[in-house]
Amino acid sequence: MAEDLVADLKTLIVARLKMEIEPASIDAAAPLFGEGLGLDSIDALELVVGIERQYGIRIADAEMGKKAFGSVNALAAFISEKRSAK
Amino acid sequence: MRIDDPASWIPHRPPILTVDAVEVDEPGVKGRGLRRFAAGDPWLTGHFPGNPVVPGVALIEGAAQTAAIVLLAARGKGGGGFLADVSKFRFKAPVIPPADVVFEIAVAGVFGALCKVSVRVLAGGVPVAEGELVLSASPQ
Repeated sequence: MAEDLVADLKTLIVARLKMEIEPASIDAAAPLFGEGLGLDSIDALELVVGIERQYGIRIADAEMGKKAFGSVNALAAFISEKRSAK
Repeated sequence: MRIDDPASWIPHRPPILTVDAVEVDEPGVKGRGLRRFAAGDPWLTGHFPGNPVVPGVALIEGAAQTAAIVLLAARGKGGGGFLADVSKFRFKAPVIPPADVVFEIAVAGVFGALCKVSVRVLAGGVPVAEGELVLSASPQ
């Protein structure tokens, strides 16, 4: 289940950000911003919109984003936590 | 809520001020900007001599200014901001003056100081452009 969510998130990231890479090639433990995937703040907004549409989970502010966007694994854990709290 | 003095909300001034009025349906969420492009509009200078067409960039700017005012209306006071991203814009038909243009905007998401808005532009009631913008609020 958690592995499915990680794979789904990799697909979402590649699709929303129109990246020309294979989703499976993303290192789930690597940072999404700065080093790692090298995303920027506009990419973060795009992911916030995509995650809200796909999972109904809102990443309301930068503080929450810091926790959620640590890596794909961190994002999956964040979504799982929010889902179980619903 | 209708705003007839956009210059009191955003720092833009002629010839760049591109909305005459903004109707805010829901502050911070959605609304529409209104702009009449007359034959002598500054945006038409050189675009094109003898064959005036409203530049696509004027439609993007009008939508961005509308979005800024709709967002600022949520906090009840004017301010600044910057265009951070323009995407998925398609221009379906040329806008020939004189034209009454409506910039319809709806907020799609907010994260930190960034806000993504969906845009639809109509001229004479006919859709002429659509796309997405990201605005960045300036530090308070």
